Amino acid sequence: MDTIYIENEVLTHPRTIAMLKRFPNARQVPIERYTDVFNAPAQNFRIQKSNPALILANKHGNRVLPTPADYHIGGKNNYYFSHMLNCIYDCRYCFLQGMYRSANYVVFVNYEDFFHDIETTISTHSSPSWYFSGYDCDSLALEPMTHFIDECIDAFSHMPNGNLEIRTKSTQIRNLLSRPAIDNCVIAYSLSPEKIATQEEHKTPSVSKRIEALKSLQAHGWKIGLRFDPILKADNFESLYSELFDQVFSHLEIQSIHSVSLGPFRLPKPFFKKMIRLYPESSLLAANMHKRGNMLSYDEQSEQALLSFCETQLLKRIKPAQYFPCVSVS
Amino acid sequence: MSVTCLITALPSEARPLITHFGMRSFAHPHLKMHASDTMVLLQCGVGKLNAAVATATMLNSCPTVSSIINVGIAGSDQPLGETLIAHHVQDEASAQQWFPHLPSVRKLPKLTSVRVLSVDTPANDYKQHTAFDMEAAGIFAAATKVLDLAFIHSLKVVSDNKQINIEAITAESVHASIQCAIPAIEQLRDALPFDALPSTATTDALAEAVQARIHYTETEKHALVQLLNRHRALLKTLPSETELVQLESAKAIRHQLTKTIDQAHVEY
Ligand code: SF4
Repeated sequence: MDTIYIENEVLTHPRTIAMLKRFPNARQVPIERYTDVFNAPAQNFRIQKSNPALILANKHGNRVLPTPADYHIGGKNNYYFSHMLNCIYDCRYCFLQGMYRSANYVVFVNYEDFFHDIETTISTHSSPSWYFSGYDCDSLALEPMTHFIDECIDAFSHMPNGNLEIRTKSTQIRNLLSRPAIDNCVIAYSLSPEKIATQEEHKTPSVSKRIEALKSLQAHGWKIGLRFDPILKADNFESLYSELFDQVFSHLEIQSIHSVSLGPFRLPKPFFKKMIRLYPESSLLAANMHKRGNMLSYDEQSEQALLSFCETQLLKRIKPAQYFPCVSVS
Repeated sequence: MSVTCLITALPSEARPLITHFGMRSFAHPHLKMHASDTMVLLQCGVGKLNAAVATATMLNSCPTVSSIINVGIAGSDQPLGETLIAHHVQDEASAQQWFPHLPSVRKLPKLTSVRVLSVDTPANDYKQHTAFDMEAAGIFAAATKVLDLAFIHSLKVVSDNKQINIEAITAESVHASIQCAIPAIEQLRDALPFDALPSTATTDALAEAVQARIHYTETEKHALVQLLNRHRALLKTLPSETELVQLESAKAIRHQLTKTIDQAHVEY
């Protein structure tokens, strides 16, 4: 990290001080609000991605938000929260590229406020509710620096009526393996066929490393989830996804997998337009996309073919109770 | 070709740069400019209004300029003669601000970064990590309308501080100060992230060649570039110019490209 912007409000926060210590040679730039840098015009996501800065900030309000309707794993009340904006990985399909002007990483250091808001939200429901981490970032990728997930698990261990999903592609699981698993937490890995991951999920751990991590977590007693999301179109998709499912399920204890979900490739139209401008050479983004409402996706027939094939393959291996499609598959 | 524009306020700031970079006077009806093959120099005059107007005019008349480095003297709490780079540029009067996206520390190892505060009249209340100038805010206000913040930078050489006051500045001392900044200018220019940009030169050249032979509306021009990019992304090659112009109309070209793209094979 070469440049670290620090909100004046968090200059003396112990987490700020600890994070700054990790980067003794970085330029430190005091700022008033993180949005002054993060939302400024005349920024280029692609350029910043090659040398992102870190922004340390305080998150005021809107810390816990309802998920989109399809984003759940069977729970009735679902929320997401992001202690961080942006990601150290660089997946070509990632909606963050279209959503944000900046590729700089924002880390909100007021973790306790997130936990407090989660606790308050839990108390508004009579039945257990779900809390998804890793919506605007990868949950674990910067864990050695932030320790957020470690503290989040501590917090959820005292909130049995809240369920936590930690979504990631990262293999930074040392902390998870050095503590006992808790019952109300699922560690969910996003998985794609290895060839797709190599070409489209830049800087991420290989799929086989992710499976190794899942195996270790499962052996340690953590509930694990598999997120095949997004399912990408290719002429050879059947062989790609069959191989992936064989690879994944041959390494894991299938009965104890908490949940498996499937998600189509869909993006809001303005995000997609911006992403094409950033990456005109990307074959993934050059595919034919069709408008459905304000979203762009593969044509309905192709999407259904992809999802139905994957669903059939998955249901050969797992029980229907373990399966959660992100959209209806007919 | 990417051209870097150096912007200075004073003739005494411009002179050492003109000599070092081998620039020659460049005739422009309204601006004082010099140029070499890969650089231009704009002498914008003193103050942020002059700076903003001159920068906007220069960008309009020199479309190949893809980066700007503002070079000048500044008052600061740092040692005299030290070259500083702005990590934050702020207009004191309006509080408007910009945060240039700086190259890595490794590529600019000896440059201290500071806030550059653009003031309307010379100031001497030297603050920590701050340099005073009178132009940077004007340059950023105009340049960010066209260029990305990774390609607009401000380098300042300390001309006055608590020990040596502003009255001691002479044309000779300015000349000497700017000479000190030349290695930093060269380092910064080499560190600009042009390699992170997509290479669209071949697609743009083909689109231009086709548009020179066939009538295209503005909307069609945009669509052609998009189709050519998709063609290149999916088929890893571009169609030939001859093949396209033989189709004789923008509409026929669009249909042909769409058909080819629809049939493209995508395998991982
Ligand atoms: S890991 Fe997730 S958040 Fe990170 S770039 Fe990939 S899709 Fe985006």
